[in-house]
Amino acid sequence: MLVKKEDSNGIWVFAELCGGSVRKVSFELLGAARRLADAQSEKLAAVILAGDGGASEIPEEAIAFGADEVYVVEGPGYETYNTEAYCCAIATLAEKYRPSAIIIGATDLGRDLAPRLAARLRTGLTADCIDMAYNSETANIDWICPAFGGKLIVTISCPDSRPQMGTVRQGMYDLPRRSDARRGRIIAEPIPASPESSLVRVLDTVVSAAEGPDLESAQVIVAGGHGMGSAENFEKLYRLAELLGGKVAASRAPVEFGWIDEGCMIGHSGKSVSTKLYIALGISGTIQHVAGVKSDLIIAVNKDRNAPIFDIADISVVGDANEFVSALVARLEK
Amino acid sequence: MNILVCVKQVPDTMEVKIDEENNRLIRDGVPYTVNPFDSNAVELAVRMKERYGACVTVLSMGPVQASESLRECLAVGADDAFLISGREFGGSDTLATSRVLSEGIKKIAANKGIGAFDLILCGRQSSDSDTAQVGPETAEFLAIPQVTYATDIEKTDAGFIVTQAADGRINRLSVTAPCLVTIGKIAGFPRYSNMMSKIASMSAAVPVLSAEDLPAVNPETVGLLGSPTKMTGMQAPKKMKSGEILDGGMGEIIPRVAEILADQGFI
Amino acid sequence: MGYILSEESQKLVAMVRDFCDKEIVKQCKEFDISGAFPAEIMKKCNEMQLNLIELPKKYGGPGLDWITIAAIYEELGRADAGVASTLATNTMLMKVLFKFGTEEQAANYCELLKRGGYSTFALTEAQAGSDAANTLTVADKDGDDYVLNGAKAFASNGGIADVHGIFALTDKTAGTKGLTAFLVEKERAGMKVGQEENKMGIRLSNTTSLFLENVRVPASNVIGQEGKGFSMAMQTLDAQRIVTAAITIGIAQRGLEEAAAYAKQRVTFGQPINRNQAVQFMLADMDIKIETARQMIVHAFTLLQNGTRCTREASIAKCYTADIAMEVATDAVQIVGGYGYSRDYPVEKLMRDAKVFQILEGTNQIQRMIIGGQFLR
Repeated sequence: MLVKKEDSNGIWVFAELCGGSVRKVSFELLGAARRLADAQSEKLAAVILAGDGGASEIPEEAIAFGADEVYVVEGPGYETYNTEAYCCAIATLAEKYRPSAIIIGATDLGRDLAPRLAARLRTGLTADCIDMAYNSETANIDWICPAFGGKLIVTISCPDSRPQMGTVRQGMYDLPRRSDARRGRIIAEPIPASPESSLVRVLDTVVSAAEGPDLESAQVIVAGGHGMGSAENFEKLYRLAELLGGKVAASRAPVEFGWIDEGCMIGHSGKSVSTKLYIALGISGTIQHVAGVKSDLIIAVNKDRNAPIFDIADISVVGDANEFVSALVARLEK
Repeated sequence: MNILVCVKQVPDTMEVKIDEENNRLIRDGVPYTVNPFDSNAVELAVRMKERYGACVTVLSMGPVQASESLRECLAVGADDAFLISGREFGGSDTLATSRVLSEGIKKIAANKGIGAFDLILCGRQSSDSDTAQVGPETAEFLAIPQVTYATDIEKTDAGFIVTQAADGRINRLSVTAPCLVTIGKIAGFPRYSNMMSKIASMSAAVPVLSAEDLPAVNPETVGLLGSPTKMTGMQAPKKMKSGEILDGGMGEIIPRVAEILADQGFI
Repeated sequence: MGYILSEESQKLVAMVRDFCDKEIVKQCKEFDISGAFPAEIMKKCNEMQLNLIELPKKYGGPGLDWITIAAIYEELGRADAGVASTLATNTMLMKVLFKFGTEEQAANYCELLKRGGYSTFALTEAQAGSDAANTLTVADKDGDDYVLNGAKAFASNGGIADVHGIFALTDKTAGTKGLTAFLVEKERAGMKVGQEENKMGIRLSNTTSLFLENVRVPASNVIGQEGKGFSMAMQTLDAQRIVTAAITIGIAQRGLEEAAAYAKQRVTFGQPINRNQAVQFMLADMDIKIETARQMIVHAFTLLQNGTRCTREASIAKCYTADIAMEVATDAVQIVGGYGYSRDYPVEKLMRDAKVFQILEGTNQIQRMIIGGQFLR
């Protein structure tokens, strides 16, 4: 079904559930989408899919984080994620209400669901955005995303078909301020799960060992790169992290050298983190790495004065990362 | 069993440079390769062929030079290759590309007289645009179930058991055939072609499907004009800040860093 | 690169180079230090069918021309001369069998190669290297069999071979004209492998002594005719010497590449050292020598390809290439300086690897005897 621009209204954010609660990224996107909705004078809605009674207090929470309306689809077949069931339910809602945009977190689930949904709605989708903005000249959303491994930042728009769709990375926006005084409308939509959803069944599921530590929620990260020089030197980072109450992570090189597990890699092909303090040691700062770093304070140490990591650093230390770590550890241990 | 693998020829992203004058990609002299995740998909298909017996077809959409990448797939064990190529298709976004691919897949299956491919594989995402959209969108156009982020596939009587690594979990999913699976990391590495298969692949035929061969594709829904998304801007990543620079000896640097850490409450 | 190749051949060479860069260049260091046999690397080479590069189409091989073969051996030599030598050694017995063996012997050998098997070509003895007439290994006729006794030295692939090409005297009075070549399977009773040589270079190749104690083989294991062993070996050596030269040029080319890359990034007195004419001229001279040697190889292989006798040209190519590879490797170490002398950098290995090519397959002194000998006639 093709929906024309003038026939559409409302910005939707898919509220992704994980273990009964909403993922942080969905709330971040509610905050960002609130600004888009205000800019184009449209309503902001959250879409929640859950098993019977599984939505519980979540609709109220979505309203507190900025939604004007919440569409709730509850019932058997939605307890756990199933591409066809979820796609079918959201497509049904979209055909009924004709939103102008659907925004989905660029999680693994989101990036499975969004393209299937976009194709079903025969509309355009922009992947893995790092920002979005309402373009008042064109009355479209500008979707900003990296291309060519982050060497370029491109702007994509979806001028004619609706809804405009995008998946947006976690950690690109701050969590909006929660206001339990906000009021909104909760709309229950009983949509039975698509019978075709039974073509794919989960047999079993286990937590992956390769996933590594939870860096996403760490407040302090001490990250090492090629410039640490050796596995032995790299080990010193654990002491520094301990002294600062943080976790150790790495750019790609140490993972490839086998100094640290892949689950600790930060960057475009690794994890995205959002910290209070990020210390980058001997990391050159390729765009692939920097894409995964968001921090209130970034201290970077590199021998090369022109290393791109200094472009994002608040404190740029030109010097040997290994020497720096030893000296700082000695100082902090005093 | 008939397996079809969609592959994309991509520029080696490590070699791609940006012209800082006009923010354009410098593509001259950049080597092209098979998208790495697509290589994994081909490898997995060939392993399945060795294990269960299968005919592995590879399909790409792109300029005529993309037949080189298809030949690389033939050299590592694919049985036949097709290229969808034509000016009409240039500039297609993921939706338009998926539309064309799905029609191409139907056409190849019909020509082979096999009804439908039992299994269609795609790399999880391409290294140049990283969208991870063509797989699921193609599955939707073909109206078959999809599983993404697969690391391994086993054949069963009714379909497949797919091992999926997503969201920090390893899931085993059963899926009926026909279906589309996107492949991420796999155990081990894609094989090298050997001398004999490399030589054979160089003279192998790679039939080209043009717009005329795909009458089911509405020309208004493909190519630059038929794509719902448009690229409206391109820029090099910005320098974000210029912070405080410390470049004395460690004797000066460390006290200053300690001071900052203390100010911010980290120590 | 100084080979004129078809597009197909260029792609094959590029494929080999890519494989070498990913699977040999970095991996070989560990084995260079330990001296252990790089079984995993060799397995991958065999899977790539790099053991079949000289195999004609008739035997299910790629049927490559000699210039393409040269370019591929250069790539292998550039990655690791030990690995290249292991592969090239296999082809010596193959060349003899193709030219002089029975159809069955040749076919069996091809099957062995395709299975990833190895062979030796054991002519050299402790007291008889270049001087083959001094061979002491004997083969006594006993009914339909031959019984072999003796010892062979510096047998390349000795410890890994499935079959040995053994040169033994069937007529002790006839000098080199009494030498006969035998196929001796490793399982034959009395066939023993001696200790592995702890070599200075090409440490990824396996070199051992061989001992034969009353090893009984049937007459069907004789290659060609009795008494023709030395002549067969000499006729095979022309091609083999050019192959060896192609491997050797790979060492030199690597040395040049390493030195040039280092000279570009190493800064002294405020500029990269390649801006210094002393260094620039060294690099230029290295390149001149390499390209000269490469064209000798191309020329000798062109003659061979056309069926023209090329003993002189093969000796010139082998001798000159080995000499300049040693010079180039030494200069590469000089340019990289203190680091060049360190085992952490790859150039000192090239120097060690290059040295043996002045010695094996007829020392460079023997080559000069062959080249100079024509003026005595």
